[in-house]
Amino acid sequence: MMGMDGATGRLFSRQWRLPGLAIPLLVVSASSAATVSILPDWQISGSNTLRGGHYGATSDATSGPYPFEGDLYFNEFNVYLNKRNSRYDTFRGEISGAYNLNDDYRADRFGIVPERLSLVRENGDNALPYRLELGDHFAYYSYLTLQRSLKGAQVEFQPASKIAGRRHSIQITSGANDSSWRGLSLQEDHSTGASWLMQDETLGSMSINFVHNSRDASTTAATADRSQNVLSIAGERQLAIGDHSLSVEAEAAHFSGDHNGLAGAASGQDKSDNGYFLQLSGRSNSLPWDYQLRFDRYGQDFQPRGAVVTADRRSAELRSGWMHSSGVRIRGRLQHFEDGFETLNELRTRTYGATLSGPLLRGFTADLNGNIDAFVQNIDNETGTTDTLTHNLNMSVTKPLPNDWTGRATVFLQNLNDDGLVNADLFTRQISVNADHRIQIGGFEGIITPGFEVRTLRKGFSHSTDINPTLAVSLSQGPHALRMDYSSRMQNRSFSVSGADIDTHTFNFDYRYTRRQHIFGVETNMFNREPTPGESTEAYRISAYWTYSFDRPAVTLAARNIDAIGLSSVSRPVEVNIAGLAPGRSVEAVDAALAEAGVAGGVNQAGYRVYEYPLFRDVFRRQRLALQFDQGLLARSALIIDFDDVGDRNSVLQTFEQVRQMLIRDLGNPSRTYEEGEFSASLAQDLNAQRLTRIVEWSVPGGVIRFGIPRRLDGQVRMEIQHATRFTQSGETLWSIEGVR
Amino acid sequence: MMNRTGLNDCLAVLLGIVIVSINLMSPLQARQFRQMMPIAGPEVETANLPENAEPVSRLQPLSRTDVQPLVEKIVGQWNGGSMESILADSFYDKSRLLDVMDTQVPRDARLSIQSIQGIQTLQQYRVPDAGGGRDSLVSIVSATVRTQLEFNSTNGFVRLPGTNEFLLKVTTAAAP
Repeated sequence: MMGMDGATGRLFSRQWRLPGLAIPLLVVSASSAATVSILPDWQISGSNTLRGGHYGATSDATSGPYPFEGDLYFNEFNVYLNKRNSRYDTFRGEISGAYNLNDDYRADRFGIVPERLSLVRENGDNALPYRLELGDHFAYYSYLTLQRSLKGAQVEFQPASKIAGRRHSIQITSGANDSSWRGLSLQEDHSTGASWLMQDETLGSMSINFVHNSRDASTTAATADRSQNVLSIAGERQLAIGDHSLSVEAEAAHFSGDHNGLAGAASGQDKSDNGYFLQLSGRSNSLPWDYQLRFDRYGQDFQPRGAVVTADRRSAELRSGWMHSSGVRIRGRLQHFEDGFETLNELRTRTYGATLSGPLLRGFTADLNGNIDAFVQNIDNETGTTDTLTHNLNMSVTKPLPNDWTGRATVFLQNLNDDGLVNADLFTRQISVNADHRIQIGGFEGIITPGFEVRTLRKGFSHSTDINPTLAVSLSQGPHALRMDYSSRMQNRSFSVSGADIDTHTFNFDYRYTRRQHIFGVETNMFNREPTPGESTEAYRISAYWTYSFDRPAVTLAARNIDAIGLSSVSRPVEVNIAGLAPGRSVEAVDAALAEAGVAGGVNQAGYRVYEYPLFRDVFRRQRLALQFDQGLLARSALIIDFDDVGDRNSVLQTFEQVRQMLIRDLGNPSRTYEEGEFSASLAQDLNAQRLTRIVEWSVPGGVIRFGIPRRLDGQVRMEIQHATRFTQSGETLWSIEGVR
Repeated sequence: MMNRTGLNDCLAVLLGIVIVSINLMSPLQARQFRQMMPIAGPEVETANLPENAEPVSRLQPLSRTDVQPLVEKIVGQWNGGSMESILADSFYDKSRLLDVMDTQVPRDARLSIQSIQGIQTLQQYRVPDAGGGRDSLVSIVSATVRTQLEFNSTNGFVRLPGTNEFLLKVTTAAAP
C-alpha cells in the first residue's frame, strides 16, 4: 500500500487496519520517517475515500430502494500521475478503483476492483508527432462507426502537411468495452479500427473510418458469435452564400457482418446494409436567425456495435430559431421519423413544436425569466394498433420576489388521445411552485426552499391526484455544511388509474466537515412507502465517509496555512486590502489599520460593519467594504462593487474584467475558475435563471478569496470579492452577502 | 402509464451517453465525426489551426470532487424534467429523447445515484474566445455511474438499476 509524502514527493508504505479488516489506503503524511523515493520525477495527486454504511428495511424490502441490507464498506481511490520530459514530450496516467469489502451498491465484485487505468504518452518533439494511449481511452471516429470507451490501446499520428493550413491525423484503435478491468474478456466485445482525418482551411474536413468488432456467443442473450465491419466516409464544408454562413456535413457508411438478429441469432448472421446522414446548418449574418435541415437513413441491418445511431430508421428534421432584441428566443421544429421502415409495420412519428425562452414579459416585469415548450405529436403504425395524438405544454418561470425570495413555477399539461388498440387516453395536469429564501440559524447561513406540486391524471371516468409538498434546506458555517430535504408524495387513486393509493415519504440528510485536505461526512436517507391496500415498507441508509485529497501544492499550502492561522498572525499588522483583511485578524488590529488608512463611518448592517470605501482607486464604481467579526476576530471581509448599468453588456464586461485583472495582478493566477454562460444585455435574467455564473478563486494562506457575480434573492446584480476561510461549492451561485443591500 | 419497453428505450438512450455542456460557447465537437486534437509541438503552437483549438501544455484531470456535483446535476435535471438545458446540441436524437421523457416516462419516476465508479478525463484543450476574451478550457470526462430509476406502477414499486457511462463536456474558463 502506498501513499505520498506531499512535501517531498516521496512515497511510503502504510496500512490502515480496522477490526477484522485490512483496507488499503492512500494516505499522506508530512512527517513520515519511513519514506521511500519512488517516481521522483512524477507529479502525483489524487484522493482516497473510505466509506461505511448501514442499509436496512422493514417488511417488504423489494418495495424499497435498497435491496441489499446490512453493514457495507468500501474504499475508493484516484491517483493522477504527470511527467514532462520536455515542453512537448509528456506522460500522464490515471489509476482509479476501489477495494470493495462487501458493498453491492458500489460494484458488482468484491475485493480490489480496478476501474480506470490509463497511461498517455504525447510527443510533439518527434518528426512524426504521436499520442499513445494505453488502458482506458475514448475511441471516437464518428456517430455511424465508433463512439465508446475502450480498454486497450490507441495511437494517433499527426504527420505534417506540405500544404499550408492542412493537417492530417491517423488513429489506430484496439480495445474491449467493459466497465471494469476485473473479469475483462477481450473476446466479449472487442473493437479494432483505423481512422484518417484531413482538415483543410479551404476544403473543409474529410474522414475515412473503418472498424471491426467481434463478440462471443452468449447463451443467456441467445446470440451467436458475431463478427462485423463498418466502413464510412464523412465530410464537412463551410460555405458563405450571400448573407448566410452555411455548413454542410455528411457521412455514408457500409456495414457487413453479423449482429444480434431480428428473429433469433441466425437472422443476424452475414448481413450487409448502409447508413446515410446529411445536414445543412446555417445562419444569417445580418439577422438573428439560424436554421438546420437534416436527413438520416439507416437500414435494418445497419447495426455497427460502436455506433450511436438507430437501425431501421429514416428521418427528416427542420429546425429554425430567431433571437428577438428583447432577449426572447423562439425556436421551431418539424420532425418526421419512420422507425421500422423496412418492416411491414412501420411506426411513424410526426412532431411539430415550438419553444419560447428568455424574459417573456419584459414589457411588464423585466426580471421574470421563463421557458415555454409546446409540441403536437402523432404516432401511428401500418396495422393501426398504434395511433396516438399528443398535445404537450411545458412552461416554467423564475422571478425574484420581495423579502429575499426567489420564486419558480412550472406548469405541465398533456393530452394523450389514443385511437389505437390500447385506447389509453390520458390527460395530465401538473403545477409546481417553490421558492428560495435566505436564512440564518445559529451562525449557519443558507437557503430554505419550500415547494408544492399537484398533479392530476384523468383517464376516462377514473382519475388520480398526486400531492407532493417538499422542503429543502442547505446551510453552511465555516467548515460545516449540511443539506436536508423532505418530500411527501400522496398518490390518491381512489378511482384507480394505476392501482392502490400510495403515500411515499423521503428524508435525506447530508453533513460534511472539511478540514484542509480532509472531508468527513455523514449521509442519511430514509424512505417510507404506504400503499392502501397493501403492506408498507420502511427503508433507510446511514453512511459515513472520510475523503483525503493529496497533491504537492495542496500540502504545501496547508503547511503554510497552519502558520497563517496561528495566534501569531492575529497581532500581525493588517494591510487594508482584500488579502490583508484576512480571517483570524483581531478587531483591534483591523480597526487600527482602517483608522490609519482613513477608513471611517462604518455602519452596522445584517451582522456586518459596512464602509463606503473605494478599495480599488481605478474602478469608478460604488464600492463598499463589509467586515464580519466573530468573537473578536475577523470572520469574513468583502468588497461589494456595483455596476453602472447592468443592461450595458460592454460596460459590465469591461468592469468585471478590470477588477479581475487587478486581482490577478495582486494575487497571481487564480486557483479555480467557474464560468457558465456569456455576458449579454439580459444579465440580470441570466443570473437569476442560473445561465450565467462567474466565480474566480484564489487559495491564500488562511483561506480563500472569491471574486464573481453572485446570484441574489433580491435580483440585484453586483460584483463581490470575499475573503473567508472557505466557501460553498463553486456550483452554488447564491453566495452573495444578502443582508448588505 | 407508459409501458416497460418504452421506458427502457428511453433509459437506454438517456443513460447510454450523456454529454453535458457546462458552457455552451465554442462547441468544438459540434459535428458528427471527430475533430483534430493537435499534439503540442513547436510547429503546432504557431500554426493557424482549424477551429482554433489549441493543445494544453499539461492536462489537468478533473477530480471525483469536481465530477460528482456535475453527475448530481444531471440526475437533478432528469428528475426536474429539465434535461434540455444540460444535453449538448450534438447529443444524438436530443429532441426525441426529450419528447419521450415527456410522453412515456412516469411523472412520479425518480432517478437516483447508487454510486459513481471510475472517472477519467479523456481529453482537454483550449479554445480561444472569438471576441478576444478569456480562453475556454474544455474537458471531456467519462464517468461510470450506477443509477436506479424508481416509480410506482400498477404492479407495485419498480426499481430499474443500471450501470451507465456518462460523457461530460465541461467548459470552464482557462487560467490566464
